[in-house]
Amino acid sequence: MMEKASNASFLSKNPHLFEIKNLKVYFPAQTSSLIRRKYVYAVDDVSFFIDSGEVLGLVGESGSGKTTIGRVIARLTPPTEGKVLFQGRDIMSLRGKDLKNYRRMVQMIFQDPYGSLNPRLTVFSTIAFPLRVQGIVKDKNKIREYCIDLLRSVGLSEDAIDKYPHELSGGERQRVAIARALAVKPQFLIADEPVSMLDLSIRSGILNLLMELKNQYGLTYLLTTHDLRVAYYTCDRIIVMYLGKIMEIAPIEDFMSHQFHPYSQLLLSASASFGFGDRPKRRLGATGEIASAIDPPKGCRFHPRCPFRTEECSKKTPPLAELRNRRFVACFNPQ
Amino acid sequence: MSQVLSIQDLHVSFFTRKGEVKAVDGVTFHVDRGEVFGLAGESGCGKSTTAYAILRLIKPPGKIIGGRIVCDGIDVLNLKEEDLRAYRWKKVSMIFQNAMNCLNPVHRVSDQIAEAIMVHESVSKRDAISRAKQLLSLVGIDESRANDYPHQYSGGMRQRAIIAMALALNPVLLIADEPTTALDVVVARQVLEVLWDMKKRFGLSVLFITHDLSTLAEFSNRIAVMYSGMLVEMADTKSLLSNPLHPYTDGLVKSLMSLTRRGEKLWSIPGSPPDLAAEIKGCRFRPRCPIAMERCFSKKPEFIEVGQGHYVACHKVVS
Ligand SMILES: Nc1ncnc2c1ncn2[C@@H]1O[C@H](COP(=O)(O)OP(=O)(O)O)[C@@H](O)[C@H]1O
Ligand SMILES: Nc1ncnc2c1ncn2[C@@H]1O[C@H](COP(=O)(O)OP(=O)(O)O)[C@@H](O)[C@H]1O
Ligand SMILES: [Mg+2]
Ligand SMILES: [Mg+2]
Repeated sequence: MMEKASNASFLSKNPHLFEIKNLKVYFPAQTSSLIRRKYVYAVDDVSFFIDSGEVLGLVGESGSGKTTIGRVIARLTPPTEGKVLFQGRDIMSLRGKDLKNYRRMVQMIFQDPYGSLNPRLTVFSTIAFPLRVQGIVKDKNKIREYCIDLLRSVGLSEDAIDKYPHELSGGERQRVAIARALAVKPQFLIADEPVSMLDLSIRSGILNLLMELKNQYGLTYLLTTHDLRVAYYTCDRIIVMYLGKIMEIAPIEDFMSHQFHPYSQLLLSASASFGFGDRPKRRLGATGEIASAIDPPKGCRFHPRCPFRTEECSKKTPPLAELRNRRFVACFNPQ
Repeated sequence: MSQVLSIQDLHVSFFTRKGEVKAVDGVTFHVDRGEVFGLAGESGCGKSTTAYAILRLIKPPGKIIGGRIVCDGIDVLNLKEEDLRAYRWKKVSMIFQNAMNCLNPVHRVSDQIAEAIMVHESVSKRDAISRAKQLLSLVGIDESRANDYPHQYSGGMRQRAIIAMALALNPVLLIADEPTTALDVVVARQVLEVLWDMKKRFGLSVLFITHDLSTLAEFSNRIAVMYSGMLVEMADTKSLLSNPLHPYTDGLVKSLMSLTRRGEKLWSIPGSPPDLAAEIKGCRFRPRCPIAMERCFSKKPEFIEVGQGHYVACHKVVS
């Protein structure tokens, strides 16, 4: 029913599917002070690339800027500064047909399967709408058939088609959201915390589905999560984010065997599945909680919580440096 | 008396337009003094309803149909209305699901905790506030932040403040309903560590409700697994997770995500839980069960002790 997405029209010599260059996204903060305007530094000078066919994970706690990066790439939020290049072209410069095509090729699924579907639309209307906008299925009589095929491919039965969101469970809703995203034959999918609002018992079904679809249609994913277990199952490479900054970039296997950044170690020790016992075996190395993105700490943003901090860390911002092949770390005292 | 809570054959139903929803349909378990007892199961299986029944907080269209609940020697279902208030805070206190979003936004956190103390005990405001501050520091909130308003706290701090409030009157049993579900991994762990410290230091007993068995793996002494209003298995944590007998528990354990299996397909239980309003003959898990046999269609399996303290409701296991 769906062939592999073709990117012939966008062929270029650019080696990366996406290049994110010095991206900054600042939001005006709500403060009582009229004199000094404050900003939320949601994403603060972030650069990375995404290769065709890979699953890249953005990993970090709430407030680290993951969703904002996804929304910028999906062209839902404009960057304050910096660029997102898609096959070498600045996505903010796309117009007309190119923009429409970009909106088709890049799809996003959201964290909250309760909020992301319109409660007044049936599953059929939900999926058929983007199809009509993009003119994917030319023959009107075939639209229903196409939708039923899609529902099957995401593991739902045909009778789901005339149901409303409230008649579906959380897992089923997330499947509908996935079907809607796939309906327009995208090339790139942004999956924003796709399972964090779901019961543990249905998470695995959704993650399996995402991986099957990726292989079947040759998709590229940007997946965000705060749970390294999810990243480990799905990602080829991960970027660890903290308060709007990149802390570490690594191929996943390599990352699991060694984490250079103290924050990466903290994240991992919190997600690790510990042995059975009658007490938590390992205490977390670091204490405290993620600071505010309005007045982020000077220097390294993680330094107030870092067990290895030195004086330098509170004064200078550590640059993201390649420590060894494909491993980038922003830390003065890598572990 | 080693049991702090005992529940026998509890039945709670909601009488809705669709019919009688048997949210809790014959549940029996107990919580030992000083233990963390985990109650696990998918959303909608009746965990919160069980907790509400323990606190006698079931409201119409819900009704406690039958059973017996004894908490610290008190026959809860026969407790007089006027004694309920003291029972709710001093014997059992509960951290409600999403409670961290229910702190009063216009009052300082320390004042809210002090208020809870003053309603139940005759102490001066000054003493109550100083106790509130002590409680907050126990859960890792610095005295300098005690007078903040809830919105000045992060999610993790709010959840810890809720724990402090729940402990304000030294209850013998704390019920924690999905206390970490809405939190990020790091913060969730910090909250678990706080609960663990409280248990260790004060011998607190905890009924810990969650859909996430992996949270219980390192935190609970025993676990009961609930499915569609009933318990299907109960055992000490190690036996339950390393030797699950019921096919539902087995599926849950297999679908746990660990940090060790990359590339493999994840296990997931096919199908979804049944409608609680529908009458199902035989075993309620049967439609999703990979090992169902003839008897499972006709006869409801009983909850039977098959090993020391290991209970299961499954014909196949018992046969
Ligand atoms: N539209 C917005 N207006 C103001 N602040 C925002 C907006 N969107 C996000 N933020 C803030 O930006 C920061 C990063 O948010 P987000 O990208 O959602 O992080 P994550 O997805 O990692 O939790 C947070 O502090 C958040 O409150
Ligand atoms: N006030 C209510 N009216 C009708 N049905 C309810 C009510 N509260 C809960 N239920 C039903 O009772 C069942 C158990 O709910 P609950 O105890 O909240 O489950 P859990 O906490 O395990 O997710 C669900 O099927 C739910 O729909
Ligand atoms: Mg987000
Ligand atoms: Mg509940």
